[in-house]
Amino acid sequence: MKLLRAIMHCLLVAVVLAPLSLTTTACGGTAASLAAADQGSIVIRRSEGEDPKTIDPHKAGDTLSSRHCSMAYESLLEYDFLERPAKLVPCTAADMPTYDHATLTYTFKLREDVYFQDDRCFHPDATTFEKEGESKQALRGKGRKLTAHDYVWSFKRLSAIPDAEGFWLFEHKIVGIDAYHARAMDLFSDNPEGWRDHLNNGSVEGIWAPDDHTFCVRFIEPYPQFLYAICMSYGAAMCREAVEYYGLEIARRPVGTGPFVLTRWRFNMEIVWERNPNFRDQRFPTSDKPEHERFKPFMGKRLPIADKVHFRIIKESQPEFLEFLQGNIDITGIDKDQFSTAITPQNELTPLLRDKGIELRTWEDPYMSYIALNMDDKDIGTPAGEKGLAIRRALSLCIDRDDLIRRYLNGRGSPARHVIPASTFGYTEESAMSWQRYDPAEGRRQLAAAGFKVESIGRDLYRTTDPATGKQVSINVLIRRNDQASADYAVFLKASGDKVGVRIDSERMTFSEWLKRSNDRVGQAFDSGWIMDYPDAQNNLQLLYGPNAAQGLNYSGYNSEAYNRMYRELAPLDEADEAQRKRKGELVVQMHAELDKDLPWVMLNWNKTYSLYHSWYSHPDPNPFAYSYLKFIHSDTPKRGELATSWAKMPVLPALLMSLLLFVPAGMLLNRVIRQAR
Amino acid sequence: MLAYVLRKLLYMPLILMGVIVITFILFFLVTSPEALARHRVGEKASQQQVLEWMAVNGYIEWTDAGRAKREAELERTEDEFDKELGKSFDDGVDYKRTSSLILFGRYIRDIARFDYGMDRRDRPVTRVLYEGMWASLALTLPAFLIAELLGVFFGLIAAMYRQTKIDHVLVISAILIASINNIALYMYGQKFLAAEWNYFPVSGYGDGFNAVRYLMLPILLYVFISYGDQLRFNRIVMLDETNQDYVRTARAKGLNENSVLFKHVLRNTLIPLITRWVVAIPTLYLGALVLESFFGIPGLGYLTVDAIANSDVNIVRATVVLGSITFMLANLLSDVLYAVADPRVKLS
Repeated sequence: MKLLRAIMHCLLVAVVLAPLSLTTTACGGTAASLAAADQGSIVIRRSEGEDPKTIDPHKAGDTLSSRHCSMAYESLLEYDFLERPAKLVPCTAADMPTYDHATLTYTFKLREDVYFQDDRCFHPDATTFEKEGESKQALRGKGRKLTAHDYVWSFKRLSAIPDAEGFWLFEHKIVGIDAYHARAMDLFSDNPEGWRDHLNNGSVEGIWAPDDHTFCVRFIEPYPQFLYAICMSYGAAMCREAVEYYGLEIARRPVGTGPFVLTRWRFNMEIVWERNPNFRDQRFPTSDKPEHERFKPFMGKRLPIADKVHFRIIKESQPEFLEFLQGNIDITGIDKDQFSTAITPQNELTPLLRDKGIELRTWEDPYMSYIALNMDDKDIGTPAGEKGLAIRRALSLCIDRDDLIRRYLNGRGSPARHVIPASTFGYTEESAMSWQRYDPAEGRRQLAAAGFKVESIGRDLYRTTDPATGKQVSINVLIRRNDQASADYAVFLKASGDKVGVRIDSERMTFSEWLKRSNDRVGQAFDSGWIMDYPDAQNNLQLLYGPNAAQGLNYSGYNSEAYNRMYRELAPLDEADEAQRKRKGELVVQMHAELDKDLPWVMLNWNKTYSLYHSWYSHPDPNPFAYSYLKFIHSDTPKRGELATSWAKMPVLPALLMSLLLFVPAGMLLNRVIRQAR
Repeated sequence: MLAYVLRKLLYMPLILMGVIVITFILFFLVTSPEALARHRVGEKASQQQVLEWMAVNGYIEWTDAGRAKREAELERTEDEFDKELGKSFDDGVDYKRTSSLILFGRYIRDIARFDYGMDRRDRPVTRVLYEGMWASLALTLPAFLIAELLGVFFGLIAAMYRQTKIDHVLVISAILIASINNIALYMYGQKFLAAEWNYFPVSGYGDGFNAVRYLMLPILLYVFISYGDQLRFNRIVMLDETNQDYVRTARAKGLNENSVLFKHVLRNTLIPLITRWVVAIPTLYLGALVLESFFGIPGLGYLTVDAIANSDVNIVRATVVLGSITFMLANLLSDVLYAVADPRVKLS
């Protein structure tokens, strides 16, 4: 009984102390502790929805991984931070490359002041990370100078590893790269030594370095998009010593020439980057343009401006948004669940956010959603002739894109009538595809004209039957998600089809299954999306190039002789050349006309990004193609500390109320039990 | 008892094999090797690159026709490139799929060698599980212990004061709390207790003792959510026991109510409680999925679901094997504990 009484007393004390501990837990809370930790340095605080898949630039295909790769690694060129539309400028290259039209060769001269970060792999005693582990990491060697041979080796590595995501950008384009890749794949699993020798000593005919500071690439055919392609992470220079020292661990321990050094990466928790002391003397660009006025305080300053970039991994949208409101992170997107808290129906910030000085920025994303219609399908594709075309037109005309955007994207998008975004060269209002609009009455007329029987079966409800079979016209759409949103979307599609009497059935599936079905073109229509890789119309127009059907990009299997011919003419055209630029513009218009005629896609929408920034964060003008922008960003850390601490008020009343409701009755009950035990 | 334990241990590999077979079939029913390859080389990779990845990883083997086509691909003239960009390779003609039996053999071989390979981020799976397990346990173990302790305590109180105001208040509060949607409680708990009133951090995790302040709110919410079920379960168990003859005898002997409940009833309710506790062990290290994602705790709960969603076969395989082994051991432990708690139970 004594023991029981002792336990009861302990519980009673705990119950009494609970409200007290509740109020003291937050003493020196998050905002204050962050302000103390950041004192004296410029710290950018951001969040990510998940860890990057990798920080190996050759394997980084997604935006998140690419953003982190660009912290540590650099390419020959990068996007100008200030200029819009996007413009390329030298990065580790001393100047823009020269191009020899006769030999189809780009020649880059490299800067002489670019060094890799200090790392263990450069230490003379270093063996391998597998043998040494963390114990020797403090003993670092001095980072060596970047040479053109590093780029040669990096391009070879991109071609030699089986899971390189960016190889498709150079496949069939650089002289000798396909043969090099095939040989590497043959060696990879059966002969690792041979593979290593092939990587280090084998050569690609079209990639070479005449000296330490000259890098050349020769192409099979003109490839002007190459300059954009190398701005993606795949064009980054890795150093052989680091890859050999770290092995697979290189994906988590980047060793590059970039502005930041990875100092901490704890999975599902945080990623911390700090200023690279070896980073070359790069300055913030200067400009007199009025739109760049807000960057005046930073112009001419040495990069990176921030001392540290701290990423928290926050998977759920609510905690991310709440952390942002508390001032613990500088910038956030707006999830649909938080949209009404942040944005009013008038598309303005809510007073809650406005009072905190938060700024809203919106811009068009180069991401398009579309439904690829299988052109080989016997009912809706080319084999169905005029009837198939009528069904495709009706499908396009029955979808109210504005309603779709309003319902499923919180208005964050615009109806798509072009295959390329408005910011891309070649875009003209006149080239908008005429069938990519909402007009169900016209859709019904098209079906009737093609010989289908269209009858009204209710208000806004129609039934279209094929007199030849007596069956209702139907189409099956494969949707690449299997969540509630996709179920709602399937209902929307069905309701749209009812407006022209076409039954639209949807099959929802995992992305993996969808990819397999769409690559094999097993299905009538594929709900698809594409994010543009670089600001060149060719990147999107290739999705409808006939031979790309075998490559898995052209899901509709569209194979128009005229379109293919125009694409082949357009792809090598260089926008830098005035005559070629003019021709490219004409071709983009003609290709849109061709697509409008055949209608292999139902275009849905272009996405629009909404971002929220705190007043202390010097956000850039958006450039969705650029990843290496964090070196230009400033975050007024003292201001953040001051404001966030002032927002972190801890009211006493709720704690008291909770105590009364929960802990006082529990305490009374315990006391009664103790008394009875005596 | 020893013979019983040994026999159970001998059954384990067979049960484990059954679990592995089911997991293998289910995983490869929903995920094809092509999908695995696409996850690694990207959506935009060519068919040939996807096939090369599959060949390197043992999912297909090139046939002579396929090799010839690959060679022809390399020897295409420059003029041909723009016209026939990339040839299509046909299943069964240019390459042969590795049979499921061989794939399963490799799958088993790797498990037997404790070689779980790398996850989709090229991290050793064993290290990923090891790191995540501690964060999961840091959340679930204290939460589970507190919830069980309070559950047993309030269950006893409710049984002790049955059909009184105290019992009614406890039961009604338990029903009310059990009726609240867990997600809603996490969301509102986080919004008000952390974001609005700043009593706790909104989310995050720390090293060592620093983790405590991040764990307090999720633990509090876990305990609160568990209270409803715990109280009702324990109250019923306790009430069942209090109707037994030995309780009547104890009361007839003049023992006070507390002695009856805490000395006699509690001991005899151990068997259903042990079952409940031991079966919960595997779920403890796997963490509390939603709590982990909401409060940014880097545990195993989210990792497993993330692995399934991203076709991370190695993580799925490791968690299934680990989960099965833990579950079987937990069952064995519960059998042994029955015998310890109740001398009448004989294991044979």
